[in-house]
Amino acid sequence: MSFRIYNILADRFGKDTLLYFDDTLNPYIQVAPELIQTLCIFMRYNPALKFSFLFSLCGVDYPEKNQITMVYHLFSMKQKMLWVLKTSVRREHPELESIESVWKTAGWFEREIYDLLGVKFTNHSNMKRLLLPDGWVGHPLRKDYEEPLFYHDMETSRHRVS
Amino acid sequence: MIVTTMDEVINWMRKSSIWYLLFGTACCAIELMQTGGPRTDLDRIGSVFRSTPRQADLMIVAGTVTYKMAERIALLYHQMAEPKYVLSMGSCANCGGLFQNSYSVLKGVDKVIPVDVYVPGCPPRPEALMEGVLKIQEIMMKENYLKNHGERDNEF
Repeated sequence: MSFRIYNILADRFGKDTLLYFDDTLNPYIQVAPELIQTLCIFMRYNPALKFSFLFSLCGVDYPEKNQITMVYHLFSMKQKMLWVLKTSVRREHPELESIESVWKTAGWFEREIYDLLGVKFTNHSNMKRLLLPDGWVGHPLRKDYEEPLFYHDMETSRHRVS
Repeated sequence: MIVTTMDEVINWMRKSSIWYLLFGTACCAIELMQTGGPRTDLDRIGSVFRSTPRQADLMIVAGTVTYKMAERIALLYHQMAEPKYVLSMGSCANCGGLFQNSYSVLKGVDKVIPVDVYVPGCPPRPEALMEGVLKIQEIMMKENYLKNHGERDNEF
């Protein structure tokens, strides 16, 4: 079933641009970051695929590979099927095309990723922090994030700093 | 005929109408609502919620306090009229609790405002919160407002 979908995608984009992995619980394909928007539009609107629902978009930090990986979880109501896409950006200047124009809900996920991992999404309608205060320094879900001793004159450690 | 001191009367009146701020930051607020509910009726000691800090005597900090929220809590606390009391409810408000290793959680609300009574638990049962309010009453009965011109004895 999932291989059939991979074949549809491979016919359109070519086998060497899409790396297919099925050793995990959900099979996924890894693509280059420039391709992600075209691929998403194709997967959403192609009548044979119809992945109409993006139910999760999250980021993972890999300092040893110098990468931040974005994981897209799609669902197709028509085929009753889940599909996973992955794409990686470099850690120093993480920038990626926003897919808010494809699935409106992605806007919120992307703001969360920007907040916690610092990935900037281009063509996003409102690229601001989602949860943390606007003046926050750093992106706390990065593995090398270090918590400062104070935030706005409030101690950040449980024990008194002397 | 009843003979007593003026302070005693004022304290008695004050403790019989502890109005607390209608304010909850996390899941402890559910238990706070339950304390106001019919089973552990907080109303029977004259305690009702007020939705403005100007009319509240007691602030019950119910739940996890993030740094973003802590600034708002300090603002609400300063908006309350003297004499004011703070009850810290649950592990999160006491010391950060389960979330004390988080980057965004304040490790105890006593880092920003003075706390009178700590109620342990995760979350505390309504009976425990009731006990906490009774402790606030005990503190209130020990005050000498007339002598101190409305200031509290145990100011932090």
